[in-house]
Amino acid sequence: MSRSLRVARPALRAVLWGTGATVLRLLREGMVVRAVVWPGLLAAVAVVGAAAVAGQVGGALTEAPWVAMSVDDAALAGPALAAQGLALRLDPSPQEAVAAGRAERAAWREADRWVVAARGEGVSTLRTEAALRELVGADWRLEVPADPPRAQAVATQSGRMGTLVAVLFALYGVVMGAGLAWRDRGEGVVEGTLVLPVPAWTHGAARVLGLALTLGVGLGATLLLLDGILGMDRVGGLVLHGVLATAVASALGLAAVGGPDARRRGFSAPLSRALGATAALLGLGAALPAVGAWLPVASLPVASLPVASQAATAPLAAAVALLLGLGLMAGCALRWGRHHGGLGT
Amino acid sequence: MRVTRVLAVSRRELRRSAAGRGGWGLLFFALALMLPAAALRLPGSTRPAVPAVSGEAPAALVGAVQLRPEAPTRLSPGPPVQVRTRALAPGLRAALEGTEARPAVQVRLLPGTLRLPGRALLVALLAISMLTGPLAETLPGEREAGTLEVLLSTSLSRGELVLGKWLAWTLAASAVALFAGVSGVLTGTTALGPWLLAMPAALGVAVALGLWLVRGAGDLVGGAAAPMRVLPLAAVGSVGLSLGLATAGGQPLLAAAVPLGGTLATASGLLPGAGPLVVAISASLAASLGLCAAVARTLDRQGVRPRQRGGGPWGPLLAGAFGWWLAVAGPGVFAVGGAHELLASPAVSVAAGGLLLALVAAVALARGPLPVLTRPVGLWRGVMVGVLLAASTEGLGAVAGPAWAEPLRARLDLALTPGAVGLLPALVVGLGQGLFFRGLLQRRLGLVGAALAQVLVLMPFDPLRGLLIALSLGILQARAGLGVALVAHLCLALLAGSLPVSGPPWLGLGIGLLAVGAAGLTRSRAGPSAQ
Repeated sequence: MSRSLRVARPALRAVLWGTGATVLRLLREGMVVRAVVWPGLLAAVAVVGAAAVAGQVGGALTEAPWVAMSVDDAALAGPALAAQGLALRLDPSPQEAVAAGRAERAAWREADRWVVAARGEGVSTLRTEAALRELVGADWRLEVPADPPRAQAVATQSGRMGTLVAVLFALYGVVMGAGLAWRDRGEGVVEGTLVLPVPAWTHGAARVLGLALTLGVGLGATLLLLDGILGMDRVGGLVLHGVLATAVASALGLAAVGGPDARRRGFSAPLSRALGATAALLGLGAALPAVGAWLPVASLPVASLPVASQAATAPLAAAVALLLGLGLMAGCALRWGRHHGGLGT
Repeated sequence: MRVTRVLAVSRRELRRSAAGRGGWGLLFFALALMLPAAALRLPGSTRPAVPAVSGEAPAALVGAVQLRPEAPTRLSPGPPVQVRTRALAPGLRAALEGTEARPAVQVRLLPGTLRLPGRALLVALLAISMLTGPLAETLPGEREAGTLEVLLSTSLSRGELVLGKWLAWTLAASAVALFAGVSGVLTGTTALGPWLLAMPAALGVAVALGLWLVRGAGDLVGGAAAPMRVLPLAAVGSVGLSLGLATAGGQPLLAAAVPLGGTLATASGLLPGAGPLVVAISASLAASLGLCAAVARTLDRQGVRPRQRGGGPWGPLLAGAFGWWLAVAGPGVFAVGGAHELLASPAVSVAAGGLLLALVAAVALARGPLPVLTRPVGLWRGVMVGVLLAASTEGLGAVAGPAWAEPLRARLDLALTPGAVGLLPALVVGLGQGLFFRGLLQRRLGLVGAALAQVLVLMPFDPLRGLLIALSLGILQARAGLGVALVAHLCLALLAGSLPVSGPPWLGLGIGLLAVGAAGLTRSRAGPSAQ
């Protein structure tokens, strides 16, 4: 045990220092810093800006849904609509109001029936119909369950936004992993490090860990910022699976460009292949969550699903995805070492 | 401009890409990704012919619905028949209306109603994401290989060169996307329609935008990073803008004219009709040609690697201040708009603000000369100054802001006593503020500059107390080093607001001055870490 530790110690130290050096190099790249800052900044400014504009321009944040109606019809249907939580706006011609876009929905009497016209078949339109069916005593009635608390609804939506941000980071991981391998080979950094008296796989491992650390911290800060502004559903799971997806995607990018005969293969085809593989895994998770939950990268879209729709085996699936992800990262580091960062065959 | 030359450049571009196994691999993977996305039927994506309901179906609906206990729509036989749901399936509505002798309420959905994008939008977005690698090979790849100079020295015009590259990748991407789209038509996931015409136009704008993004990149990596970062957001954002114009604004033609977004919306069947199709294709062609012309004009400019920067204080100062305000005061905007229930947890906001300050400091320090770290000595002095500053919590001539900004001020004030919202947020805030103001800004702006920055960013509504705190901490760092100042920052963050000291404003002033004095009387240490 102590002998194997003695053998492993220089390698582990090389990985540690190499990881630090990779992080420093990445932070000194304007491209990397811009990429890490861009999604969070854009999302946060968009959310706060939209809230500021909506709040200043007419209290859209607190406005109840409303229905356009004529004075006569409003006198008839007002109480029924109010019981459904709908406000009324009087309009001499509600039919024209909704057609011209002045109103989202309108209702009027036509011959012996009520007509509800709307620009969207949402819950508020359904509530309008429910109120009018109750009013006229229709043969079938509608009951629309109450909305979930608004903060909860917003947290669900911001969870989806966080998933999109995490997906972007995973795709960044592919490009940056491939870019790091390509530049290091082109600039002779790979030859320089290969002469060091440490196993060749340590260089790959250091690059993978450096990329994972840089992008992972950036993703964590971005999700924390969005959670601090809006509140976000299941932010812990999103950070865990997002960082795992980003780390694995970085390893895939690095391995794609650092494989055998790398110089002959060029940059764009291996990059597109790694991007395609990552996008395919993400798509698999989105389309088949029951399968995706067990796989790294694919588990990311599953992480934002509501708790109610998660399988009972979710913790086990997350552990398996984590182990498979670590295995993939180790495999990519070994591949880098075996092919000497793309210099060998 | 000669067409033969443009075609020759296109042929060369495609041949260059297809050389070796890489090009065929790219085509294979593009098809492997896009064919299933376009043609596979997903479970749950098709609406059942007979609507599913739970509960008990009335006799009139037997056969028209299928009973499933897990279905979200619940029926009670009545009379009257009760339907409990948040979304009424069209099939169920038709069945229910069939039971009525005389329809009592009719629902009409008007044109302009938001429609869900078809599968073609997914195919187009995938095709755009697959363009990252080829776009990096176009101009940056030529530049890195040194072949761009050779091409520019031939009789080819800049316009012919750019147009040839644009044509090559527009045709290649369109061929793959249309192949995938037609396979979707064959399997029934997509209906045949005018989107077939809009798809190449959408991809043409995406390629032109990509060429414009990589026009100055010096190598393949720089060329891959810019489209990766911008193209997906530009595509999704412009589709959103187009849909907003079409649905909220009721302007389908204007929506179709949005470059990229209008064509993508038309390609995915969101803007039906011949008018939007013609406008979208025309606008896309114009945008593509304009972007190609812009690229051609800048083609002689050789891309260079980004110069290492990081010495200036203003960029990090603005970034840190903006990040802090966004995280800490940003949620207050919801309260300004009256939506108090949307205020996020202050603990998370404050921790996010502290983390952003720490990260800005770390990035700025990593991009400049790295600081020399020495072992801190006499940490108790940091504890003493921190405790004194935490005790001086009374406002000293606080400034009253406008009434509408009161929620923002409340959030900023809350961040001054992070210990009250949690231990972890307080630690993150103490560390972040210490690293940002003392570790970074004091090294670059000096003691007074960093103190003024701290007042402006953290305590703009209580400047006198803010100045006392910032000067104490700044002097402490100048005398005893960064480590001791960080300890003082942490003590202040943990204890502010929790020490039982209250009294008239002069007491707060006195304690604050005592802290300045204690920091100033600290024995100065020699060595490079003093700053």
